[in-house]
Amino acid sequence: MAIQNVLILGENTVGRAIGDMMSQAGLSCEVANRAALADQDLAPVDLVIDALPEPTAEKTLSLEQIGRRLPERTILATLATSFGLTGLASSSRRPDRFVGLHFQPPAPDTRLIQIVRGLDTSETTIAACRELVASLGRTAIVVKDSPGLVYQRVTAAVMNEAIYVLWYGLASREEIDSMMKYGANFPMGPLEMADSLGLDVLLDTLEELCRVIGPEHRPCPLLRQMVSAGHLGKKTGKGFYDYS
Amino acid sequence: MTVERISVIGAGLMGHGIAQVCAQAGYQVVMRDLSEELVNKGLERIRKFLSDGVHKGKVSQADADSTLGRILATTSLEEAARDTDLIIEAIVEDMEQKKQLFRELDRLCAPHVIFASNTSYLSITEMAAVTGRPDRFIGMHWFNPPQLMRLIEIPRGQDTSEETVATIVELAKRLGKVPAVCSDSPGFIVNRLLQPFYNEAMSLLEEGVASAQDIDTALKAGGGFRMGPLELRDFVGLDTALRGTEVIYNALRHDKFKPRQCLIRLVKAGHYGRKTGRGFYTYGQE
Repeated sequence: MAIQNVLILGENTVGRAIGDMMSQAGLSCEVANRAALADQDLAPVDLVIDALPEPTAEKTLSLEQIGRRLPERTILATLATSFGLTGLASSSRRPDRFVGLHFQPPAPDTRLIQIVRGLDTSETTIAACRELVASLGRTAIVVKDSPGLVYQRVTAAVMNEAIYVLWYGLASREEIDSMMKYGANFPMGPLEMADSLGLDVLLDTLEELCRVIGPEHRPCPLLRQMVSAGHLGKKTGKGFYDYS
Repeated sequence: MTVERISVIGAGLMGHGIAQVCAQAGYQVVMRDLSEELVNKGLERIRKFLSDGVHKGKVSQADADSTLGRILATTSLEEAARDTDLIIEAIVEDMEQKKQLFRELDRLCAPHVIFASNTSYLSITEMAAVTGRPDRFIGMHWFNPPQLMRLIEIPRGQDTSEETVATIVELAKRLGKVPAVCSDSPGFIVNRLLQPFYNEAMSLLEEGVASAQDIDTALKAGGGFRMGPLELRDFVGLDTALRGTEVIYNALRHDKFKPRQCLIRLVKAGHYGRKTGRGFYTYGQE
């Protein structure tokens, strides 16, 4: 099935950015609010992308309602990045036509789209999503529903270890970052990377990895302290570096 | 102290490149290895690198000639120890062989001579302890290829003096490199931080979260990494990769550094990556 007609739920920054990406690729795309959904003609829609914030009970309920109203063939996708896609798929009542899509920030300049496979997502659904990503001119990878997916998990582990190294006093922040840039060809030092991502986001990712995968992901106490102090990185003007 | 003359012990993969960088920066260099054959092989590599540079217009013929003119190649340790200010050791990664070498050098070298080891993961403090100059002993960890990689990681041993650190930092800058000082701890910083990079990628593979190719693609397309973690391991060689991981894991004993089963299995099967044609990927007959 070729995806032609896309409905994005959630009139927020991410929702609109993804909408722009779709429209630029020549797809028919509409960005709507959940409230406006009742008036929508859903018959032509091939794909609904739920761009609402991270999972809540409310979101689960809304996915259930949406799932019930969609045409049989329509794929329902969610932007949720945390572990739990399979649970959402189950409440949508179309677990085989349910998938996760993770657009690597910053959308709409995303280069990588991670297609997330729930326990019951069908091959047909995956194939349709691969085709969609190709038509957007982006790079797709397919990953199982797992905490942090691929990119976030690998980089979070490195950032956490960099914070441990700093906490133990083995090197200064500048030295740690320059070592990884000039000694390992990293595009950015791990501490700079953490500041850009947001230290609260990093802590959440590590907590989930620690809970679901194992204690090797235990967040460094220094990271907890920074978050407690409200030093969340670039967005608050202070993290491992000062941005004021 | 100002370094004027440098002796590089070992003319292999790292040694010849280190000697070249030092000579190109204007230092008088002695490059020493165990046999004529090894020394000549090192010299040949330097000549090739320089003549490629001349062809590409990156180095002038005059600079290439004068660089070669500043390198004295020898098999004599006495000659390398004489009239020098700094020893850069770049022999095999074996603690006993390194200790043996430094014991000899300690007898042969003048008291002011600084000893630097290019080890990637062995303890600087342990090597320094067999000499009578632990304050003038330091790590100088170069990255492959030394001619192109900008970082020099500088682990200081337990007793390394501030003056020695300052001398080596200054030298690294004069060589056109980026120096970064750290403590003498297992894997230093770069290799320690790379362990979770590789290990998480391998865990994702073992858990069946994504294919090797998709894991590498995620890092390259998602974050601008030049190479993915799994292709990097294949590139370096999985046998070498496993040995390095084991050293760090045995020293730090934390699960995040533990060698992953998929790596151990590939090494047991003799699949060492590119050099054997098979590793995380299969490579064509070239």
